[in-house]
Amino acid sequence: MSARIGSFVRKEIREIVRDRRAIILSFVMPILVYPVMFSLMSSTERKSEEKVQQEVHRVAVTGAPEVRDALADLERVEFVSLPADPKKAIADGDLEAWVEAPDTLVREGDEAPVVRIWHHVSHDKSRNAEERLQEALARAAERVKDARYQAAGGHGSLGDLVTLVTVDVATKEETAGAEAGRLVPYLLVMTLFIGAAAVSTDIVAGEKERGTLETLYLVPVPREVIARAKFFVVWGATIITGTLNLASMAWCYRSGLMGDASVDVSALSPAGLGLAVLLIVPLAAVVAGIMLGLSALARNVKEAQLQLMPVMLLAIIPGMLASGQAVKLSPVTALWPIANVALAVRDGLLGQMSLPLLGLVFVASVGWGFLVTRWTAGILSREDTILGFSPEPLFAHTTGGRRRATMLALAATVLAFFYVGGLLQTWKLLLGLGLSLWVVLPLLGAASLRFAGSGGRLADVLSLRAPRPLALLGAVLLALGVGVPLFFGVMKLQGTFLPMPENFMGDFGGELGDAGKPLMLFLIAISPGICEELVFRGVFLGLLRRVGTVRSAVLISSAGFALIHLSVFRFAPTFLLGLVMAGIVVRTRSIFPSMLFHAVYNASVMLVIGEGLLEPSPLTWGGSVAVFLAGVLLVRSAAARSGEGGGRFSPTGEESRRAP
Amino acid sequence: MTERIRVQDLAKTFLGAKGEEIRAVNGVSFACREGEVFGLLGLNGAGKTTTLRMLSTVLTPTAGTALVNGHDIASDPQAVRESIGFLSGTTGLYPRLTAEETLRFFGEFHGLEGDRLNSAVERVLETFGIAKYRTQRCEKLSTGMKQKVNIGRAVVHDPPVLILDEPTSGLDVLAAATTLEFVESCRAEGKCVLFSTHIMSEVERLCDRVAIIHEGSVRASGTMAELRERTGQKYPEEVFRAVVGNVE
Repeated sequence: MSARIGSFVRKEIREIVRDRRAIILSFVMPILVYPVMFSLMSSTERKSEEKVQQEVHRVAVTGAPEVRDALADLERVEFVSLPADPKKAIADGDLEAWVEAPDTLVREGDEAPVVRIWHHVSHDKSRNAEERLQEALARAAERVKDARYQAAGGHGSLGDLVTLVTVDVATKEETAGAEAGRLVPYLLVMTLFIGAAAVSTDIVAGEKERGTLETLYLVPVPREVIARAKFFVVWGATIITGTLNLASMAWCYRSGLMGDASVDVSALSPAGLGLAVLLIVPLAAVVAGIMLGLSALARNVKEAQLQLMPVMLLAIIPGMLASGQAVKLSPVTALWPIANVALAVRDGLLGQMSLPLLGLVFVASVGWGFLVTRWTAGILSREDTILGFSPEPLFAHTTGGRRRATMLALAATVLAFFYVGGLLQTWKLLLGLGLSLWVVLPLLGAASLRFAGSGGRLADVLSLRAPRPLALLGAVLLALGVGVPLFFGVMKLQGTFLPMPENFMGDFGGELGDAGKPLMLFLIAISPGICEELVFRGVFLGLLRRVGTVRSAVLISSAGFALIHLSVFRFAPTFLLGLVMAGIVVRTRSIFPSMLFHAVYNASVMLVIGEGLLEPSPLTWGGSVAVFLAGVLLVRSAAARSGEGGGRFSPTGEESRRAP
Repeated sequence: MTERIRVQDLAKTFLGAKGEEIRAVNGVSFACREGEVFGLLGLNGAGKTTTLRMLSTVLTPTAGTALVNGHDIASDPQAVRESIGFLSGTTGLYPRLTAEETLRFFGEFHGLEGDRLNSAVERVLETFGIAKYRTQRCEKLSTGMKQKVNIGRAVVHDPPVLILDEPTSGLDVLAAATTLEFVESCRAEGKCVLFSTHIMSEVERLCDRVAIIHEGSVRASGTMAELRERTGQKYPEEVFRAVVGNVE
């Protein structure tokens, strides 16, 4: 009996393992999706927490002086005098909260004196202030009560010293909007995806499975017409799903089914609700296009469902971004696909609409919808899509297959380095850092080379060629000159729309600081200079140049390099550094100048930050730029002499020839 | 007789599991005329279906040309699709549409409307004896009945050219007989029928001329009498074996 079961199990496992697509989609994809999702979620959460940590709350306190005293130690509170109209001041955001206490804290019979905390529920800052004030007052009241209880010899019951009451100054409409604004955008995005998935799976993958897609493509109409018709069906179904869900949500709120979260729907701003319905239209186009395109890539319904699953997981992100108020609708976020509508709907429900931004959201969504639709139409016109077979294996030994293999290897390297390196460094910082760079990263690079490589001399792929001395000198000058423009130009500019957390520039204290400068130089400058360069400018730049243009190889390898620093704040600067280093390799045809650049740059940053960052004088600015330009000239000159390029130096190496 | 199909050096290359090139069709040439049933004979995987899919414009050739009813399959695929009725084992029916809805749907796409559409649908329903199942969903029909609806779907617009890829595959004896009778009636009506099969009795019964296709190339073509004479074999199976050689 058990032998028979064993035979069946072996057969089933063999079949499952041989279904490579299913394995990739159901096992590998979630591994790729979750880190993206969680790092975005934690980054948003951190940003939100940091924002709250930095907030200074303006609070007015009136009545018994004990109340004012109880709050005196509260940090980041600015006590202000009571404005003439405190409720209006709170509603206008001029005051976060008003603590209104009676003149004396004396119990009247069984009634404890009432202390009111006036705040505005739909203003995050006011709500945070109210939470802090309530907590501080409750704690103080407990302390006093304990003291009195002890003084009374631990006998009797004192009852509550005060009754804390929170009063929301928001209008009925604002309260309803705040409640709905947290949940509705999230549910709306999710339901649109669910609706689109159900229909797109059936009308493309389902048709392939039933053999009707080939029959359909025999009718004498252009393929684009069929693709467009299918898109319209999914789009329409998605709009209907979204609208019905919105109506259902409104009914649930209205009927009281939501319990404490119930809001008076009639109090919701009609403009906000209207906006939600209006924005469903372009949002549904984007969602429908994505789901239809992905479904078309599948050979059958099972594959389509597996392919759509990670997308449904990722769909949580835009709604999640809109569920708090940490991410604001701005000219930048208004361009983000899907999330822009979620943010706009939230703001609409909160009654905080900005017409120009709404216009931008609408235009951007229509633009995204258009792009996604074109992509979908392209997929639906392909013969392999129509007939349900794949003309080329995923990782075939063709340019396309090698490109996909390289991209997968790059993604796997970034993630594996993040996980394994992170674990090692949590275990022991110094040893972990050393092991990550000298063991984990080279192993990942070697595995990538084996998986995605297509032969050729290793020295050619990795650009292991003796450099010209001028190239080395140029690299040093570039490294010394790039710091000031990067820190005080790029990062400052980035800080205007993505504020850096405090102490972000690097805390060289603790274990790392105690290591001593020689060890620090080895770990922070020399090791990345060798190991990171070998993998990103060696393996990945080398592999990518063989399967695409030099420009795309430089851009993609630099993006991978930036991603291993897994920080939203460090992405732009490390990406730019990656571009410069990849540009050096492309121009000089050697990896050694970029290794030198990396080591010198990291060392200079370490030493300068160790001394404290000061705003550079115009002279320092000028000097840095001059040194950088001198480096550019030298690298360019070295390139010209080595016969590579000879035109304008460009970090993306646009004018370079492809590697042999 | 007018030539309805002319295929010249048609080729199609796919990529295999390891990215290697697989030449499914490698320079196929033949011609079919009106009032003729032309048989494309070959083993499974010989390249018959790929050739017919290229002629139906679902697949794009890697090389070569073909004219169907005077229209180039590469430059005028829509006109080609207007001229043909295509049926294969992979052209399925919409399970949730009724037999009549299916015929109407495909008739409309071929430009039929109003009375012309009504009479075309009635003609097909009568010809194939499926009138009493007209309101039944295709998923409820028997295999034979489904095949009749499928043939009806392919000819509802009365095309001058029929391309049938192993149309009797998987059918019971009666359903297969109906299909073969239909092919004969098409020939009688002067249509050009390109018919792929590996069943020799069908070849004997139907085909005026045949092309034997093997490993993507036409190995021999002509009437069965010509092929018998050329190979010195009496039975069609022996003729076929003599042309393609002993295949493992």
